[in-house]
Amino acid sequence: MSKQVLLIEDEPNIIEAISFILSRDGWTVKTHSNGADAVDIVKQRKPDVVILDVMLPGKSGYDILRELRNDPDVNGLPVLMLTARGQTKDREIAERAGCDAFMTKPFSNADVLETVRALAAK
Amino acid sequence: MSTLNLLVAVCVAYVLFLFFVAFAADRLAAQGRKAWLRSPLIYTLSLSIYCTAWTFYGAVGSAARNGFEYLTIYLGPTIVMVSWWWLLRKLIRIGRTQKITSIADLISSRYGKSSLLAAGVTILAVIGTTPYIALQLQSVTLSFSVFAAQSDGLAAQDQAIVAFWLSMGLALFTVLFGTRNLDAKERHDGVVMAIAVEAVVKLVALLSVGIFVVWGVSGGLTEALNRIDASEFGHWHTDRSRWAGLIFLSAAAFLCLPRTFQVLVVENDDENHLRTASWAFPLYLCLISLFVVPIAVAGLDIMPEGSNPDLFVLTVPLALGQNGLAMLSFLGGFSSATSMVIVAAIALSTMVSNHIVMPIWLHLRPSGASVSGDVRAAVLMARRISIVGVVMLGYLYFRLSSGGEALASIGLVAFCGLAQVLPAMLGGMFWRGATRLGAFAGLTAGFAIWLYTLYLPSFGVGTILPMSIVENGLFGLAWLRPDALFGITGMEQLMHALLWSMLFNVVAFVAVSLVTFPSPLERLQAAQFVNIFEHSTNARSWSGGTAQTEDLMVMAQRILGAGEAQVLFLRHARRQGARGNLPAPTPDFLEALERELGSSVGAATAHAMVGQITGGMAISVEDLMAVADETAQMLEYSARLKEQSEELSRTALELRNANQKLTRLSVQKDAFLSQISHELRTPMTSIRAFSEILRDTDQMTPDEQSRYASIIHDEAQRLTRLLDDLLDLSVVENGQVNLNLRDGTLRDALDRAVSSAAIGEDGFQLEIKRDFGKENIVLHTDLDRLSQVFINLIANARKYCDAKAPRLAIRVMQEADRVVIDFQDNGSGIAPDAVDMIFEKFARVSDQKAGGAGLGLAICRQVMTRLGGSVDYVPASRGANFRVVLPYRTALAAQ
Amino acid sequence: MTRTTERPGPPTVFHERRTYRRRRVMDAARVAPLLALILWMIPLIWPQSGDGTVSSAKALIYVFVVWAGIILLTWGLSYLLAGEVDELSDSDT
Repeated sequence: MSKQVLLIEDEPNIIEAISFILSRDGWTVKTHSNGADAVDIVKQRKPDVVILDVMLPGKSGYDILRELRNDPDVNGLPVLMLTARGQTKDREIAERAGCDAFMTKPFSNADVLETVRALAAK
Repeated sequence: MSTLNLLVAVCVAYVLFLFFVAFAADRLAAQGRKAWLRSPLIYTLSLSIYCTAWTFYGAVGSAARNGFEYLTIYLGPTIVMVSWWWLLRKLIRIGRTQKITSIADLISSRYGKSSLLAAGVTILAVIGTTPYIALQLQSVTLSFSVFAAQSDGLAAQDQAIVAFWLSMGLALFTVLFGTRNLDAKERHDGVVMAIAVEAVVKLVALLSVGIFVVWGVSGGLTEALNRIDASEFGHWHTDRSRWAGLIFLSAAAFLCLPRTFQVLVVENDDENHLRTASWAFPLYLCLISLFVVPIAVAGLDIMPEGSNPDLFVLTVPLALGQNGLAMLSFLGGFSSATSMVIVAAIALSTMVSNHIVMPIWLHLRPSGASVSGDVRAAVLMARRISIVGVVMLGYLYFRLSSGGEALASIGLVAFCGLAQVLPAMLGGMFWRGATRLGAFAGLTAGFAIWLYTLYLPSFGVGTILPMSIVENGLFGLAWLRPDALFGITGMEQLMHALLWSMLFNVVAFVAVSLVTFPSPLERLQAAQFVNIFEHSTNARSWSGGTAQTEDLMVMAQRILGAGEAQVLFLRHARRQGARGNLPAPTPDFLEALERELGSSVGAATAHAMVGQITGGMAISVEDLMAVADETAQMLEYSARLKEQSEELSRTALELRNANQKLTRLSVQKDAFLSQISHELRTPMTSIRAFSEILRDTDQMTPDEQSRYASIIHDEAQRLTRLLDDLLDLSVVENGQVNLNLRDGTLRDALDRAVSSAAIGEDGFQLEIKRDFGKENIVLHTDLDRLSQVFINLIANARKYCDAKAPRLAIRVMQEADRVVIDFQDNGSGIAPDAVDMIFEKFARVSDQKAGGAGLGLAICRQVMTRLGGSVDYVPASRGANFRVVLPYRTALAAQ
Repeated sequence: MTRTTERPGPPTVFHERRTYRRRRVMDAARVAPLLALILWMIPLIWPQSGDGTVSSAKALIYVFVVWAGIILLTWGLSYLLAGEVDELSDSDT
């Protein structure tokens, strides 16, 4: 059984791109594009890796991450954060919130694949 | 006959000369060269109008009959002139400031502009003056007859002819020069000049005769004095009551006679002339009366028993063969008579036309014809008719009274009648409590008693007053006998009349004034008259007479501050060259100080403050009014201050709001930078990801390939749009945009906007409601930019309207000078706290609703500003409502 | 080195005196007519019969001398009051 990635992102084109890359590598990619119920979805799906966008409708990626980290069920889940805001303070906020990896858009496909593999291997 | 012919020739020549003088003076005055015409000397000489033929001839006659009594006629006016400082100055100031045209006008003006009083005084003046004019005519005809007696004598018929032509000539002269202009100030330059010339002729004539008599006949001054002692004069002998009474009477008459009032007050051009006249006119009177006694003594000596002493001035030189001197003397008498008639006619005609004819005319005139030229012509006509009427009245009186002794005594009778005005006049000038009813009562009482005890009896017992009344009193009451009121007998008739008339006049005036209450206008006029100097100080200037510089210093320090006050005082002290460091309180300094203070406390307050220190100057009504004005200004000022402080707090609030806005903006700006980064990175992410996929992935279906390529294409376009927006905003904002102005209808612009913005890229269509009928407005503007604004607004509605079935209503309203286009959707609208942010660039209502970059509305606002209009968010009952306003000058109605 | 302090002192006496004089001149101008009246009323107390009657010449000279005196007095006063005519308020009467 292939490993599962949950992609939480609202831009349809980016969803399609990441889905394409990961599924080609053999991952099962589930997507979700709303921030409000993202935590529930994560707990329900129990993916191996979560890819989380910062700017989401309903709830920001940081808040979702914080909730996940505070939840004993899912607090060990590896999370890759994606953001279009390239400032250093965004990275700091993300790290403080407890992300395992952080990537700035636009990213290289190979980096994403590599990072997801690394996270899954933990 | 040759003498008479010569006399007529001389008379005509003299009259022509006077016409010329008057004409030349009027011409000079019209050219503005008045300085010489209106000199103190001319003013003084014109006052000699007081000395008529009655004094010219009559003084000698009076001296021959009654001794020194004639002097009283000149002593009275002398005392009045010496009283210039407290009496005449005030009278003239009142006359000038109140624009008084006659004695009747003065009384009327003082007592609340009472027309009844004015008419009463006018009638009194006419009654008193008419016999006086007749007296002048008589004196001229008498003097003619003296010359005629040397040849064939002058028949009574001829006397009437002389008197007639004389009155016609005088009326003509007076009409010509007395009614040339209708001045508010009733000045007659030509007439005054002619009067002054005649005054000189009078004086020279009388002095010449006197000098001839003293040095030519009597053989020197000492000799003349000896002859006086040796003559009937003998020693000092006069009726004591008459001496005192006549001095009073002549003084009163000098003030009250219409003709003297005319020259003294009405024709006065400069108060300063009074200063000269105060001593010069007494000198004139002194010189006029100087040789009266020697001439009388010589006349009594030389002339045969029974000859008329009134004509000694003429007959003595004639008897001594001095025809030339007699001629000069004749001209002197002629001058006295003519000048009196002329000025009396002017004064009386002014009174008659102003207070009797005009009121009646205005009353009778059909209403509606109130053209000013109309009235002016009417006044002039009334004036002319009055002049002719007054002179003719005098002539008629002369004819009816047929000359004689009765006329000779009329001078003093007239004096006594006109003196009845004196209590009302002086009371009005010095007593604020004098009322209209009091004046009326006094005048009536005095006039009635004068009429009954003096005027009517003067026609001779049995002519007007029946013998029964004179002997038994009115209604048979003995105590009402005209020559012995209240049973007091033994008094000489004139003194009797003077005493009772003045007594009743004054008592009635005072008593009625005390018990009656004046009207507001009367009280105002009373204050103006009595305190004329407080009310009319020229330009409110100061005489520094009594100012205490130290007090001023203390006050100035209190108001200006010690340092500034000392600098001011020191500066003025240096300028004045004073030794100390306090300046003298000169008018200059006081005015400067008042100005300085005025800038702090207001002009009227400053004036009042300086006034109190500079010698208790009473605060006048005008000052009070000015203070009230200033208080009003102060109130206004403080209201303005309050307004300003309110505005200030408003501004502070605005500043606070702006600050908050700035703080928010700063946050927003950071957010925007993140946003712009996000907005740029998001499409770039897709582009990079898919281009890498296309590059790195083998075995892709053509469908996949074309799909990914089109995603890259779309995202690239999205990037381009974003960059376009950013550039557009910066261009519009910096004002570098070139407007492409052209004509087109609003409907086209809206059509274009709707077709490009109503359907989103996701295919969602916004329902748009329009009223095409109202959109047919031709615009002259940049239609592309306008469409851009519309597109933005429509797209916003499409993107942000949160209703289930989003609808947008576009309403067009034409107003007077602008076109208003409302874009209202049916969503929940914009939160109030976000409203002031939406037009800021970099601003977005929320981070969550991603759409544009938050630049659309900022661009819209900039564009509308460039087009001369505006775009605003207008709170509406429901939904978001944006209002675009276009000024009408770029929008013209199509129909 | 001397230091003069610029301090307000009392007003100079000169101005006070000038003001005082001017006011007394005005007083004189007010009294002048009364003086004339009194002097010209003097003939009323002259005896008119018996001893001590005043001769006509002397009476005449008296009246005219008073007259001349009054004229001179008025002339002097009007000269001193020059410049006051237009300016001064009469409030101190």
